[in-house]
Amino acid sequence: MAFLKFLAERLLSAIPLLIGISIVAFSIINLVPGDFVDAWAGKTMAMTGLSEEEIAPQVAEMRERYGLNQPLPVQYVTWMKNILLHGDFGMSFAHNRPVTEVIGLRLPRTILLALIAIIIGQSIGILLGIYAAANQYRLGDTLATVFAFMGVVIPKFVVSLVLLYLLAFVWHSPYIGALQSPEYILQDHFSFGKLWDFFLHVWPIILISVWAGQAYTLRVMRGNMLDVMNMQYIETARAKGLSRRSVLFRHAAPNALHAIISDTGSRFSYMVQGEIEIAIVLGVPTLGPLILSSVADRDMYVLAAIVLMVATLLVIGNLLGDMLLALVDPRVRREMFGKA
Amino acid sequence: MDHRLFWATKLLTGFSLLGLPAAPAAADPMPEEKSLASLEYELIGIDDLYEYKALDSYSQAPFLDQQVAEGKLPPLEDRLPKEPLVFKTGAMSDGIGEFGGVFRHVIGGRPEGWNWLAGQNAGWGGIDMTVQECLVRQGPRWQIKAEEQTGPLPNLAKSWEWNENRTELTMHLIEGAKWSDGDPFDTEDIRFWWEDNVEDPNVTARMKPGTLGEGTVLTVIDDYTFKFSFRKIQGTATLEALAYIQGCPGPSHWLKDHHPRYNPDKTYNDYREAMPADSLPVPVMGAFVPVVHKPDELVVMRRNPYYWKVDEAGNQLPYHNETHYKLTTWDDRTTQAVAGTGDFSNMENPANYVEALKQSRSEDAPVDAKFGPRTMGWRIELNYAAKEADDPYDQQLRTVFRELDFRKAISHALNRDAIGQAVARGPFAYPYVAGFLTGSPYYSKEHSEFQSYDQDKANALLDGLGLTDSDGNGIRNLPDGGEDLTIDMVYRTTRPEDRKQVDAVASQLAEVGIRVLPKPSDESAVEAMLNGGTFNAILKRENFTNPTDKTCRHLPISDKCPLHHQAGDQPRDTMDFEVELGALYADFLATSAPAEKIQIVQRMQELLTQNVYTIGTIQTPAALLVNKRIRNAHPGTPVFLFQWAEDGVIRERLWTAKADQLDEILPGTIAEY
Repeated sequence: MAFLKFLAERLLSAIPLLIGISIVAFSIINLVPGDFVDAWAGKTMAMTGLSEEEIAPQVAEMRERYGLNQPLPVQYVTWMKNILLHGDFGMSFAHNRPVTEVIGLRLPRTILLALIAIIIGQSIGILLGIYAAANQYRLGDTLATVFAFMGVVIPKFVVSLVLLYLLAFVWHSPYIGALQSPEYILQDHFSFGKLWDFFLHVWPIILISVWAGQAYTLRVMRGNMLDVMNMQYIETARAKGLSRRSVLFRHAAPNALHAIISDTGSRFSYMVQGEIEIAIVLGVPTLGPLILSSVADRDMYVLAAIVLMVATLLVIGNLLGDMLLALVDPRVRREMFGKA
Repeated sequence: MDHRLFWATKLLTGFSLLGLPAAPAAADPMPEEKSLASLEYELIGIDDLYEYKALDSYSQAPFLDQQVAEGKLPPLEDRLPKEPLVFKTGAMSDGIGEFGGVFRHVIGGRPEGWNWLAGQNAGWGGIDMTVQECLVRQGPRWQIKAEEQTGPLPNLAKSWEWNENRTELTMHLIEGAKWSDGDPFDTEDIRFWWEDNVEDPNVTARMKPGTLGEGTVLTVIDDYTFKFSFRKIQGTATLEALAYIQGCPGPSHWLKDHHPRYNPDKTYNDYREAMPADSLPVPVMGAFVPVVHKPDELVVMRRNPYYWKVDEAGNQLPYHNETHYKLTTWDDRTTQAVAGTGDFSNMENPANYVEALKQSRSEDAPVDAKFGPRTMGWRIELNYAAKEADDPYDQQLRTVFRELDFRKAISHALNRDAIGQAVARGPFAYPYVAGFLTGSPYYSKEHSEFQSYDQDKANALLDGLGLTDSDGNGIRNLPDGGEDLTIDMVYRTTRPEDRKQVDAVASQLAEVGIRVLPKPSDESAVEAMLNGGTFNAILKRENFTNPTDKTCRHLPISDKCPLHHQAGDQPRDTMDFEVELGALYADFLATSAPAEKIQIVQRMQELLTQNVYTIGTIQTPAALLVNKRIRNAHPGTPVFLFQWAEDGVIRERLWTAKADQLDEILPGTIAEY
């Protein structure tokens, strides 16, 4: 019961936050002069050679059809009303289909890739952190530290660009700019060939996300492990004659994991952001390139909905992090729900 | 066939043969244009490209024989028109091709829907051009020599004639051609396009009612003949308007059921959405029929078994059985072409040219970079609408812009070679001042005046205008001790080469005491500023190669044109040479004689360059990236000249040798309706 109350409180408190984010996002998107129809007109004229005068009727009709003639607050209120009452996030002007459909195709891919990256990244970070702590100031620790710092300091887009150059210019990889090869895109059923083809397309994203993502975990884990390993109960465990492996993995590591687990929510948001950044460079059809094209096209409902959805994801991610921590730590459980 | 270097050289030779008057001696001649070895290609006569005629026999893609045998398709002879369009072998760089294989596009566009008659866009990057065939065709014109440039080429309209005073245009359609579902293509499709789309105010068609002149009437004469009657004399521009994207009829037999005039249960919105992006196949006249659309991922098209074009051996085109459009991003288009997972891309970012050239010369590189003529130019447009300025400073600034000496001073202050090297290392960039780009058939070096890099001259001209540094802060002041001469210069953030040039221009103009404030803006903001005339100066790319293409961007042909000199509430303060430019354009439209056209554009070039109507910086070629396994992609095909390369390269003629063919996703199939 206490758990449900806690959950409800957290979710309710997120609503004003999300409304605030939606207002800010909507305003920022519309701060720049011009709108989707201006962007459309520019592209149409460039592509077709038609003049402003020739496309004027279409421009007027589109503004009317998309409601872009209305004042901004009216557009916002209509948009929010449709979301709350009908779950309708509006139309994507550029795709001529509902925003939910456009984002619905890409958001799961972003989440899937971010989840894969976080699982692998956290695992590697934790293991390397334990290894580095156990080998403090030795070569292994130094190597792990250098590896971690490089992951942090080299921007993900730079690594992505280097990898893209290698994939496209040097290796002439057939697995770029998509999640599947064309022959598998039309294959609706699951097959191991399709899964392998998916992996061949996404490994660069996962690799870069993992490299960047494990660094923080590694450093935190190493620090925590060193703290924990100086504690008395570890001394006791050693004195009891337990093996080094047992001391490390059964006694030290679980207690060093708290900070990592509580930070999983923000790690998830980091991975989502990272996936978006890398996908833009590598041209993989997840949320990243959609955000970029929506900015260029001024496809404002897509953009605003993405901001809203990503913000929601982050709120949920943080909440899950807290839940996870409560699950493994009775002290936190007591603090949150009033009992162990 | 002529064999020459590139357009400029060829055309100059052509012009002199015509015995045209020599140009007046220019103050500063254009510098010598550096040669790009890869620009060598051949130009041909208008009759060398294709013709309409019946052949003794025809053949089709082998898998279609099976379809015919099973009764799924009528025999080929019954599917082809009486006289198909026959591409001539001599105009094909790799000759007659082999059937089969896949041609892969990568695009950033998305199909909005397939009802192009109601203004829907099937996706830029070639999809539109694949499914739509239009009355006349512009793209392949680049291959025709200047002396035979009479206007657009025939396509669905195989011929036409004007009446004596050019107020009537009678067009003859190809006889017996069919839509991809087998329905006959005839004047009912033309009537539906015109009366129920162009002239229906509730349909936002690509062509609006007045495009061919107010009061234009279309009369159907028989199944394959129709006539336009105009209130005023018409010319080349009218014919060009009947090419992509305005003059492309749609399947009336399919669309009528969705049009409110024929079906009272339907609304105009229903009509607009009559051919949704996901509902396939739809009937087309194009070489390929869209059969699968996986949103945001892929469009697959299969060969049109009713396609009405053949080669001289009687092979029904296209040669490829399947074409793909991978739906990704525009940037990814080039990346995939280089990697070999896409077959075609326009490379318009000069910063990549050297690398692309190096790559394409490597033996294991899958892609070939085919550089075309210089058809990409960058220029600074100064706003001359002083009366329309919002504040006194802008008004004063725009008044200064109207001074010829000021424009010349800016032009002299630009070191175009340095700008060119900043944008693209190597021999790609060539100075540009104003007017037609050197890749245009209408460019004439002798009729171009150049302002060479000369800071002393620039300073003297600026001093002469009273633009001195009266407050001693290193920046010139507006006349009579006015404010610092500061020009806010808009540019598009989406184009790195624009930013590089604005940076270079800012530092070069600073050396003659003019401050430039770069004003980065996104596409929609730029369009809003251009349309509203709310900018003082903008540096942008403009491909001025044909007087009738995007004319409003280049010439003063109406109150709204050009965008850097628009009339507002008050009449426009038109400069004398602008009046003459407007008159010349009218003359150009009124004639179809190539020699006369050339004389007119030469005078235009003189006026545009002598008056520095815009201040050009550099011009470069663009490159087509085409996978090496693709044949018949003609050397020298420009990325844009008359039309985009997707049209200019004549994709229905491209082929792949058997050994190099990629597997089809849907082998042995055709669209089933």
